[in-house]
Amino acid sequence: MTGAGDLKCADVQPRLDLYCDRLVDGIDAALIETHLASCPECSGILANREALRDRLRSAVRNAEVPPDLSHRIQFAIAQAGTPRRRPLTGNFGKAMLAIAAALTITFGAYYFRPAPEASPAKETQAEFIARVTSTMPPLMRVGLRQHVHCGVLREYPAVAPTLAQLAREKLVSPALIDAIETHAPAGMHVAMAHVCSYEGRQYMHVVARGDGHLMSLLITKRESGEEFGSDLKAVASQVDTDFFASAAQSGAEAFAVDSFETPGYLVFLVSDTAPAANLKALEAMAPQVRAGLL
Amino acid sequence: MAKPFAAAGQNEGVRAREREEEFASQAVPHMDDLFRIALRMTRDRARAEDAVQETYLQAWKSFDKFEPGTNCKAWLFRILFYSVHHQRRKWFRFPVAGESEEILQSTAAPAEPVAENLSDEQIQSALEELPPDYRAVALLVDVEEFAYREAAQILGVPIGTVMSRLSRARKLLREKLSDTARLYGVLRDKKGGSH
Repeated sequence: MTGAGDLKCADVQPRLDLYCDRLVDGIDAALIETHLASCPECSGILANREALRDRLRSAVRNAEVPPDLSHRIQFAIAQAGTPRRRPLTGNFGKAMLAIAAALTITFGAYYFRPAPEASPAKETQAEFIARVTSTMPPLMRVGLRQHVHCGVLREYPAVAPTLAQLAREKLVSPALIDAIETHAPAGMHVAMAHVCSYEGRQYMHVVARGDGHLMSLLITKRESGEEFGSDLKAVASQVDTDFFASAAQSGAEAFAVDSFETPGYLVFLVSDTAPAANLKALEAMAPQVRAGLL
Repeated sequence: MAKPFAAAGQNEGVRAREREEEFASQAVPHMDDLFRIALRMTRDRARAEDAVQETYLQAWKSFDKFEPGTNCKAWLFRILFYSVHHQRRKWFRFPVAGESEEILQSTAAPAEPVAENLSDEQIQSALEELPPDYRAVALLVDVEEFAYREAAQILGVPIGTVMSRLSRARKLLREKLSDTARLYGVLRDKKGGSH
């Protein structure tokens, strides 16, 4: 419709969003209101845009929040301590300490598989990681501790994201996601791909799960002096690439850690599969990973 | 004789308790809002949880810098978006596809999707297809109802940038929802009806 009031539809419609935000005032607002009062097309568009905004709001707010998120965050805060190292005091501090104590037990009971010679329910995450990595050569711990911290001690969504969804994130090169999806043992599929950090190091982390196993492909920047060959003997080789292997057993926990290095990065494949299967998978995916790291 | 140091210590203890109680009352209630926005920004529940946890840890550590009486929710969102942005920084030298500006150049007025006929999943999916910078302003202004000025402060960009991104975000969202609506026959025609 044109000619309603002093404005035309072509004048009004581009300004409807601003009008909706109440950012049009004075005589301009009055002219638009006059037009809207006599123009069903523009008033219909305005009503629909307001309704669309309401639907957007409700669609975002309808997302379920993890029921234990609050507890986990308060646990993390309690572990971090108070600013300036002040002791926790007051109701909030006491509440956090109580939650922390309760969650330490909960985490142990929920995440840790029972170990015959230990009491894992009483372990903190840090103690658990220290225990399972204690027999590992120092540089191999870099991969294993992040696998345990970010891969094992984590709740995964009930429905794994698709490879297309993970690739859309643009955080992890699709080549790396494809490498582990293609070469992980049969029955395992990518469940997570992200950038994360632990104890000051950043990692690119892709997790595959399935058939009762968990496998992490971890890539982190090499720091000065880090070289697998200084501590370990290569167990396999490809052109320009030596592979190093280690395994850890602590109670019921068994991990295979295989690795190689490029000029800029350390690459780890960590899993609870058989050591030979883990090494075979890393050898198979190495060319693709190296290409992605150029 | 007065004991100035003891008095100062007592005052500090009282102040610490007040800050802890203030944090609990002002910051904690926004956790759900932060998670839902983080979820739409990261499109990944685990990463959203990480981002919210990082936000609260940073907020707790720097709560002494928070000015009582100012907008705690906006302050938390500023930390959240910094955290999300930091996660996205491509410190690994991987080739990644750039966000195409071409999709933002369409000038044709899109048809208007009928809001009530769209599901949450359709709206969330369309929202998540927006480039992150545009998605951020749409979430802050249209979902969290921050003023343009507040959204600009949260994102650390000029207010004019917020306005232009928001305009484009809304237009893109309508286009994407129109495409969805077309599939389901719920598009509003130019006369105001739907078919």
